[in-house]
Amino acid sequence: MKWGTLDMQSKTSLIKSEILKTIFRSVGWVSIVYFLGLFFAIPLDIIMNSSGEQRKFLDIDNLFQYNFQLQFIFSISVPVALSVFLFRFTQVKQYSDLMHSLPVKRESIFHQYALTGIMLLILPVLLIALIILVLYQPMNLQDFYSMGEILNWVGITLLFNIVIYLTGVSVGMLSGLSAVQGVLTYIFLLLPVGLIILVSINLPFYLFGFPGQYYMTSKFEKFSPLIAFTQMNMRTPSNVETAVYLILIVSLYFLGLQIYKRRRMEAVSHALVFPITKPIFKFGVTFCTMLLGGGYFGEMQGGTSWIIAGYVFGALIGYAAAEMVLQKSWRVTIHVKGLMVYTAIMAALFLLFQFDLTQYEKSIPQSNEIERVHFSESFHLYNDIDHEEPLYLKEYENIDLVRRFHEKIVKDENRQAQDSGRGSVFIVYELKNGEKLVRDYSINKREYKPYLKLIYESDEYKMATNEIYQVPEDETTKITITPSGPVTKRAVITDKEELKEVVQILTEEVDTASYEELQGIDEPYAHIEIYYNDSKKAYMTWNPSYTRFEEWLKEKSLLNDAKVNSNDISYALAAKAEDIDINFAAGYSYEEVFEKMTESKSSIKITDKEQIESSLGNSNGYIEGDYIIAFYFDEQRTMDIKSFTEKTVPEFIKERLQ
Amino acid sequence: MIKIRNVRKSFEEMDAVENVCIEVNKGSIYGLLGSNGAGKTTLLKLLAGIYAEDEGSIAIDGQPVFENPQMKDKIFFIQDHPYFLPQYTVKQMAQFYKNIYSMWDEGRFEELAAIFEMDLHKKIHRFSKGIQRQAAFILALSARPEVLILDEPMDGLDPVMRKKVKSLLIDEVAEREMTILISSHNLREVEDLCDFIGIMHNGRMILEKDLDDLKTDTHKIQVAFKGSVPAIFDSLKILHKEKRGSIVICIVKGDAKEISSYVEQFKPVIFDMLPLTLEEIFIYEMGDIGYAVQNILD
Repeated sequence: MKWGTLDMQSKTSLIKSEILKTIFRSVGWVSIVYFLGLFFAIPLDIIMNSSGEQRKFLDIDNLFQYNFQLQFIFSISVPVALSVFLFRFTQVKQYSDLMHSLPVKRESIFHQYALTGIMLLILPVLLIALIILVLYQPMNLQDFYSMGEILNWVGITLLFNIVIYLTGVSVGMLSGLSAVQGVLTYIFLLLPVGLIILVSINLPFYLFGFPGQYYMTSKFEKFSPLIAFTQMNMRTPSNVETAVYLILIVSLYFLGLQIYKRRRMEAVSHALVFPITKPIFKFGVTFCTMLLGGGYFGEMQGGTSWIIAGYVFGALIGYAAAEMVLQKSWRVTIHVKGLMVYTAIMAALFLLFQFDLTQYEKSIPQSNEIERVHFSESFHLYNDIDHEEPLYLKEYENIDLVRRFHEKIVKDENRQAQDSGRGSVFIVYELKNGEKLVRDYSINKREYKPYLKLIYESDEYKMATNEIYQVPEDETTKITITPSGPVTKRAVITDKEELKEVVQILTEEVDTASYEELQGIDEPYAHIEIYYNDSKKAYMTWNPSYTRFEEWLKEKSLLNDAKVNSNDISYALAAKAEDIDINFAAGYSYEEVFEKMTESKSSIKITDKEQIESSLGNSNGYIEGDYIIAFYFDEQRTMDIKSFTEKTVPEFIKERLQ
Repeated sequence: MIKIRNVRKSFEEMDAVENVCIEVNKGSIYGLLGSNGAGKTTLLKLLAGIYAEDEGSIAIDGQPVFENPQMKDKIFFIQDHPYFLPQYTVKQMAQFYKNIYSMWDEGRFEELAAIFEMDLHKKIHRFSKGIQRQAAFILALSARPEVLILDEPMDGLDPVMRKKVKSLLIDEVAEREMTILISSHNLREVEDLCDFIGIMHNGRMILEKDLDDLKTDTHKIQVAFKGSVPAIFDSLKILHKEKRGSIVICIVKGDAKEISSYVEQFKPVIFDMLPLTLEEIFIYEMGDIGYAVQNILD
């Protein structure tokens, strides 16, 4: 009797050993391949690089850094492959009929398959971790990383693997074709990022000032496990990320289960099992390819007609492709009605943004609502990873100034459209209520000089953008002045008193510098590094307008070392730009230009020190002028090439070249 | 035992099975006939609990089948093309079913395997189609189901094997009152097996018959009279009538004894009562539903 009841229990219990057996028989190989791959990527690498000589060159501080590309490929392919092969029985009609005629509830089938799949992903990782643990002492791995790193590696790898795997499982429940399951899984995994990118490229076409780049670059990788994983050799996921992934794992699991329970088995071999998902898929694909087409032509060609052509083209291709997948044939019948509805909705969206019905363009916060504002010429200055915190203006006058400037740009919108380019403005308002308002405009800087001048010349802006203001004059330890040019000399100041004087002078120079000088296109004479507080360093350039600084250097006999002068140059060659046989627009190298000038009969050679000095002073760093001059530096046997305009060219050169 | 009531099942707005009602008694063999696309397979899969019905109810012993493991444990379904787990041998399949079906009888399995001389350790997918079908029968019968559902089971079996399988099935029914549902597109294939048949066409059940009743109910008579034929046919249930010279041949429904005593009254010169084949019964009985019936007789 006892045996009988035991037997009954095993018969009715949720776990059927033979089902587990068939799972291992059909997909066990995936787990084995994964194990071998990981073994090749990590333990084998550890063993192969175990000699003292090799260890010197190893730069490894976590386990992801062993053949990371391989690990990455495994982590994005193995879980998806596993989900596809594991749930093969839901995609093959006869297999499905066999499994679903068995006296086992669907819920139980799902749990057994899905959980065994997770186990098949966990096992190889744990085994590899065990092997590394065994190798840890004998291989002296503590020189590279702590034991905790092994645990970290296991945790992160499994987290990503399981998220990707369960995405594959859930998608598989929606699809009746293994190929569609695989492709759709990757689409889903990339979808959030892809949409952000597509929208960020397209919205600026309509919304004047929409900061596409801001949305595109602002940590978007966190929205896709595939992209986030590419960084795992450099960072560990934050607590929030980990929590999100854990929540995703649980919800994907139960989502998959619920879809599976509602799945109709007769729809096996349909691309999408649930009829309701078909239009979603169809128009989702159409929408994405439409944005892609419009974005591509908008970026490449610009202009409304190109963008619209791109939309129509992209949408048609996407629609046809989606229909092909759904109807499983390339000879598809297009349902015009659906396409018409779609077109109508897109037209409404177009109107919504084109005529700014959301008031996006015109919304500029009131000055008293603004806590602080970031104002710069590019998103990259805002998102500069070298600086912990970007520049912010907090003074009321400056905030108001930026605001008024912003208003002016918005008012001139139509003019900007015709005369864009040249400069850009990036504004981030941080409001008192915690909200952020971000705008990005491309403008003609010359036209807005009055505004820019007021902002750039304000004390607050200067204080925030020039490091010299952070230097305490008493604690300065050293200043080096490195001339810009191919010379090795430099001026160094270490005297306490002198340091104090220099810092004062430089501060005053920056204080009094005008917008034009700060924005000047003149090449700086030198780069200045100011060391203070032992380890800190401030950096600035010596603009030609800083004459008081030059005077001071002269007084202290440092000028010769602080800037390039005629003593560094043995001779110079000058010629009219048109006489040199080089297409400057197509690119060139200094050597090439110098060679041409040497060969050219129409170029002249200058050896007089004074003439060289005056050429140095008047020439410009960019090769754009009417006259080209090449200075030959003896010391490094190299040359620097500059130019004059008709206005700046010294008389003696002009005369000799006549 | 099996009660199917007003069942409807549609695939993307197309009705595959519509308003079908069937009752099958325990221990009987029910033949589901119909041409391709008539909805036989869909109905069988509904009964096997693979599909869920859109409307109506399917119950065995008063219990629904879909997602009901206790009930499905008593049902075994063999697909039209028998399918087995990939790369499995017969032995492995047997182990699999042994774990899944509570009534599995290992002794019976060995016995059947011996009868069919089955190679237990060869992968099933390497077998020919006929042998695969035998394997499916062996496995199905070893699971000792109360209801066996067979979709086109005779396809791919040679006549000898057909006979063997049929007698096995009949034995099983006789021995432990197993109920069988069997689908076919050919009446002749199953007429000697079934005691009930239902004919489906375009998703609907157009006819249900007890074969024993049919055979005892319908008769072919040949009569000849001296002189003119008396008006005997007005009070008989005539399905078909033809005249060859002075002989009248007709198909009559009713009790054999009653008919003959009735006809004898008119003193016919010749009077024969002949047996009818099932095929003839169908042709005569269902002239109006021609197409569907024609097909299953081919």
